[in-house]
Amino acid sequence: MTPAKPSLKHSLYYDFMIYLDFAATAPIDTRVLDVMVAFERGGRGNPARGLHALATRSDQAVAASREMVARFLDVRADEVVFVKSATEAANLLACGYQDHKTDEVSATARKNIVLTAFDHHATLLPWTARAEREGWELRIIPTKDDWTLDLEVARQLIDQNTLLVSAPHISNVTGTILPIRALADLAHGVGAFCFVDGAQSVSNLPISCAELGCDAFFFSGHKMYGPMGIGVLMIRSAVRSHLRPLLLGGGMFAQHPSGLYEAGTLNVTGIVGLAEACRVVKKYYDPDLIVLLVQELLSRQLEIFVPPVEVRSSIVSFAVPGVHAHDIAQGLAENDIAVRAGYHCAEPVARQCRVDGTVRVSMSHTTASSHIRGFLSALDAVIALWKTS
Amino acid sequence: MENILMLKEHSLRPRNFCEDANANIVHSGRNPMCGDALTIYARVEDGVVAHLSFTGVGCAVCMASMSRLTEIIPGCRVNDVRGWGVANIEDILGMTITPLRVPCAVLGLRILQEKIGE
Repeated sequence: MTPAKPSLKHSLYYDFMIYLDFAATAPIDTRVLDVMVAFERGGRGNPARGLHALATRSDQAVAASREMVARFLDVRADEVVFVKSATEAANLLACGYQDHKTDEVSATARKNIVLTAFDHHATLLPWTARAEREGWELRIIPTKDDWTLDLEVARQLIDQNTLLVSAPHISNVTGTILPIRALADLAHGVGAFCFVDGAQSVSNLPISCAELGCDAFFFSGHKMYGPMGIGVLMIRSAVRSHLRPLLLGGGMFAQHPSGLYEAGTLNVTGIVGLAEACRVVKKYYDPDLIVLLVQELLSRQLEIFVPPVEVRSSIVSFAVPGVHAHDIAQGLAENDIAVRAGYHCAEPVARQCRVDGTVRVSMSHTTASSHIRGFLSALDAVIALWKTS
Repeated sequence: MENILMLKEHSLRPRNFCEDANANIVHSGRNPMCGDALTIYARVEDGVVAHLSFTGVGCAVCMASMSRLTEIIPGCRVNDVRGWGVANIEDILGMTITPLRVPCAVLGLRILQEKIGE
């Protein structure tokens, strides 16, 4: 009997290289690819724009996909909006959000929005720009020395004048799983919204927006074995009534309530692929491999930026004293090992780790101990190259 | 292998790595992707770069390319240096610069070009 090929191994590259850059993007799952090809081969029409069979086929594909994504997030289908990426979702929120506390907060009080030091530029930049435009105070919840979020400070920062709290579910630099439920409770306690960037968590953890208690949650398809160019923004109805669309155009007055935020022809092929990715993502990384990697890096006297085990995910960032992160990553790349180096588009926390950036290893369920051993062996050789004069 | 050794040599022991009190151009720049940050000190006389030095921190490509530029640019005409780009850096280092590292490789050159001939 021929053993089944791992579903991710459709590309020659993944067969010979050690890919440890899943936090940047994950290879598309062959099952996802198959449904996308099948959809295109079956013929497409423009969804919500025609009465003929192909338009109806696209309509049905979008509707079924919306249901699939809703189940994945534990929300209602009419709370699911398709966007092109997590970044677009973050910008839709930051540009479209309308102050919902106009009657509650004294006209003289300066309003504030609260982000975290872990925020990715996708959220940090649009919210910073919006706060500047509106004159809102931008408050940042800091990290603690153990790379967890400082909830004590969060309790002081979130007050009656807070409009919203926005946080990543998982830091893309340290891999820290943030206490979203606690942040949502703090936000709701003062009548504020809680928005969550789920870009890193959807491939790391089972997601239930009901359990997280968030009012908005967004992610991209390509980090969870889906296609690039498609993402999801989940918005609760309480937020919807205070959210203007980012794009205006055809389709926004469609019958489906999400149509308001989906102007223009939808990326149906991407939507179908994303929904399939939501269906097939059931396996997560092996925590034992993270423990092994951390132990091995520590034994080499490297600087490691990971939180305690209980809030750790599939990401490990480290630095080699005296050798720039880019030089480590380049050396590894020359050995066909893929990692990421630099600030990871999350400069506040990355600079807090190291002013010249970190090397980031990120794993998936396909990562095996042999990959970690291969990585460590190459890392030793790269360090030896730079450390010997 | 030779070019790797040169890269290593110039990044670990950069040439003309010092401030210059006599410089008539002092200018700084930074690569926001990774934090490479350099300050260049240039003496420009009669349209010619007479002396060039630098300080700062960066990856090997950033440091080595700037180190080599401080050896090569002195004596060159400002108008010529203004037209230089990543291809010149590749020639100087004897290696191909991958797209992600182009900003590292050209950081020092870009900082210099921003100010010379103003």
